[in-house]
Amino acid sequence: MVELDSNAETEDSQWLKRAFILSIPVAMAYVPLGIAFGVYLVDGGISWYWAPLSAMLIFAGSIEFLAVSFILSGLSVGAIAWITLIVNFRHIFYGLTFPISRLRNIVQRAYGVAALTDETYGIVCAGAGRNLSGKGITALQIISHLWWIGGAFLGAIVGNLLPPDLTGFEFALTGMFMLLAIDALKRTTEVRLIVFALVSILIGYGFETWVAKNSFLIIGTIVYVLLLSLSFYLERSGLAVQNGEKKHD
Amino acid sequence: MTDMYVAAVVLTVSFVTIGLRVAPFLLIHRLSKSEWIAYLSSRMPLGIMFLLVAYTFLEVDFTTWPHGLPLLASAALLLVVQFISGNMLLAITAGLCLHVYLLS
Repeated sequence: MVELDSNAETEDSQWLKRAFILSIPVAMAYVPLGIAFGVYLVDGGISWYWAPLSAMLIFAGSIEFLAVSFILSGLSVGAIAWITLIVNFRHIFYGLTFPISRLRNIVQRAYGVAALTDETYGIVCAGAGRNLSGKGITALQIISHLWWIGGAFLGAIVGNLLPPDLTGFEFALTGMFMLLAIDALKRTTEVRLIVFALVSILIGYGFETWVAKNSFLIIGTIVYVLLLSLSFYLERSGLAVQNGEKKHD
Repeated sequence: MTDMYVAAVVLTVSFVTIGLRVAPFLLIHRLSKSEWIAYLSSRMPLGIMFLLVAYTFLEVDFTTWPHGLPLLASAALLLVVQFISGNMLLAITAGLCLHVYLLS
């Protein structure tokens, strides 16, 4: 215990340096992604200052690219709220294990929660930053946030400098989602999830084509959540039946 | 698109995202008990990512030239680079460069 405490002490004295070092892998992802985001935003015809502004206000990855796509297709604010809820739903669990008690004051805590990205969560809760002090956690979050805003800002500048006939940057979106889909595929053994996804895509496509334009993501996500809920309900009642049978035996 | 609309979209996304991050601190008991929420959140990413990939293919016109070939070729290149190198950044850069090259 004594040794642990003294370790925490020395690490605490170097909190800024440690936070910066921990942020380097984050920067390797955020800066190129931020640049792609800024270029994509400017390429779509949105004023450049929205790149750093939205990077500051929305500190999250994929939804930020999607926001640009929603703006370009003129989606309603209500639809955007629903899709954000579904796409970022995983965040609802991050807070349960985030070491908020290490954060001292209300400002630190409020920022710590508002800026709880996948990366911060991973480093602080499961990665090399598990023993970071409160100051260190806040520093890591602020530095990561700055990498993201800086990348977006740089992207906006690059986007403005590029010749206007250079297009095709929307592939950043396709590519990012493909990689995230591959990652999700590696993490699951449940084939039915793929079936659910394909059914959701088909139904969403049907709505988009024959019922209402721009309804693909809303309908698709609703169908997927319904299928998951149905599967949850069936699994649980299946378990209940099995348990019931065991009791009879 | 007006600045007002862009601001409304950015603030909406920001508000919902922060709301999700704050939610567990307000609902900690209900959330940690709900098996349904846990079931959903662990199985959501796969379907959402598939839907989002499909979403980015929606605007492509496969019926007229070039039949979505630039997008399909870039996506294929991304997959190949990802499986050979395992480097996500390299894969996305390769796909992006090919796509910009083919469309410009």
